[in-house]
Amino acid sequence: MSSSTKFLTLKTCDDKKFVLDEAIAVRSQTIKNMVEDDCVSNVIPLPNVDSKTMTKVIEYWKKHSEEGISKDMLMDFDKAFVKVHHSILHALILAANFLNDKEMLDMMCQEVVDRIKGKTPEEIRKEFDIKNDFTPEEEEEIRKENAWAFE
Amino acid sequence: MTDSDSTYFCSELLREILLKLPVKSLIRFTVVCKSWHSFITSFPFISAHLVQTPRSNTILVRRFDRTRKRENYSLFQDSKNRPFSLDFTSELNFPFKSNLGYFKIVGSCNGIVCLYDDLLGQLRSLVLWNPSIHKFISIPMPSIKPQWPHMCVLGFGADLPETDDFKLVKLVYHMNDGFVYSGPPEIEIYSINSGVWRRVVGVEIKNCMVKFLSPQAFVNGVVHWIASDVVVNGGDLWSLVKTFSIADEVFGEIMLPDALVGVTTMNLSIMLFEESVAVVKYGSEIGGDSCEVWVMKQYGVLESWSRLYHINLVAGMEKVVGFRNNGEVLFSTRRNDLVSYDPNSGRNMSLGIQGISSLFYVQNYRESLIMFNRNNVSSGGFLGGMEVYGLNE
Repeated sequence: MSSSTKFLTLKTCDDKKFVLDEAIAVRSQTIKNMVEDDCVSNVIPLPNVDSKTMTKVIEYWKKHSEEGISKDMLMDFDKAFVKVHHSILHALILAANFLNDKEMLDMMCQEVVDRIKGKTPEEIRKEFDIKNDFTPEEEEEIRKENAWAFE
Repeated sequence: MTDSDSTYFCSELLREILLKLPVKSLIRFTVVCKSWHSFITSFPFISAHLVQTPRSNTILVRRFDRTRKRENYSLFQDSKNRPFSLDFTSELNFPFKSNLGYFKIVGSCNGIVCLYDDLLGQLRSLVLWNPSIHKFISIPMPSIKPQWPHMCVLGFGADLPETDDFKLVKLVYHMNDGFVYSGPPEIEIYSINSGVWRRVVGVEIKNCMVKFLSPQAFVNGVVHWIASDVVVNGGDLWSLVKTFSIADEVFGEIMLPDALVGVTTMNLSIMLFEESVAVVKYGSEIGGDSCEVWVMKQYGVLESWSRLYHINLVAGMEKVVGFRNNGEVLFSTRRNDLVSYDPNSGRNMSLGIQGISSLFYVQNYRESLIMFNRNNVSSGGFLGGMEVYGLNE
């Protein structure tokens, strides 16, 4: 084992390459497993992540790996980090899930929760592209039973 | 839930998101589509949602409003960093009316509060109430109809998250003509999964008396009461903690530390300190000038009982009703309000929450969807009394 910094090359689905300190890249459990299983050749392919998303992920990883950064500074960073268009948020969640970074995934999911918790069922259907398969009578019955939750 | 329901996230990610949602949003989202409905109302989801809901900063306070002559249930936010204040969050819609003017509270766990109404020792109604989903279950009356004189004790707890069952246990101590308790208690157990009270005979139960109207402390799946036992040789009474384990329905005892064994049960009160069993010892039942808070730091380990605080009762402070996340102690006072007391500085401050001192109930509260998927739950309200039983028949 060498104590010098090791670098990994990550290749996104749009063929962009990112060279990253291994110590930072292993925030991804998926990459960590690959490194530990010694199945890392020169380049790690990330077939599910595009370069635009990976740039954001690496920005997050680097900030969270900075030495001596305070809790407050990280909180401010996180707050600003999640304020993105929902298509980016969506892509980041899928990336965090694929890369298996639980901390990042939790944070992004919490952002979705904060965005949707006040919404109506109609807005949720639209947002998640879901077809309502209740009959109007069935839906009305559930609404009546729990009217307070719809106020 | 199948993946085809949402092109947005796979079902695994959708589950992660739904698990983090508050109860009110989840109930609203049950009408999004059928698969969301069956997913959110399934027991595995409800159970996982409860488990991942953090031990919250929410405190449930029941108080009896003297001017309006009614009881009131409210939630407060307890912040670690803000001494001497509780932020009012919401008043709960309390759908019941009692004969007495207020309900007695057996206990609460997993977001469910167990309440009963009794009039002159006669049990009139018994409900499990989940205020966070505005639903309740009426429990049928126990079958033991004891002759006067007698003394009843109720215990309540959950077998979650292993099963979705809740149980009530009722002990009936009979007295002979000379108002002396005679023999071990009669025992009945109710589980909401079975829907019936079951008499239990031949069970191992030490012949010790649970303190009259002792509140319970429920933790680790076990109900704890203050009780007393007759010392074989001297005939003296000594105090101990009587236990009832909900899952396997076994009774047991936990010894108190030497400093508390000889104290009459009248001067002892049991409650929870964080997740530990705590016993408060008062100088005397009425008009004592100090109290001590003892905590069993390691569950079931006798040597781990330790005296946490010795508190001089100043400023009308009367009874310990609960503990704050920031270490402050909540007292009800002779002025009929709540006071927050900092044992380190000795300072105290009124929280501006009025109510009859003896009727305060304070408990850490965690909202849950428990009971949402049950068939026999009711919403809305009812008047306490006989009409309640019809709901279960």
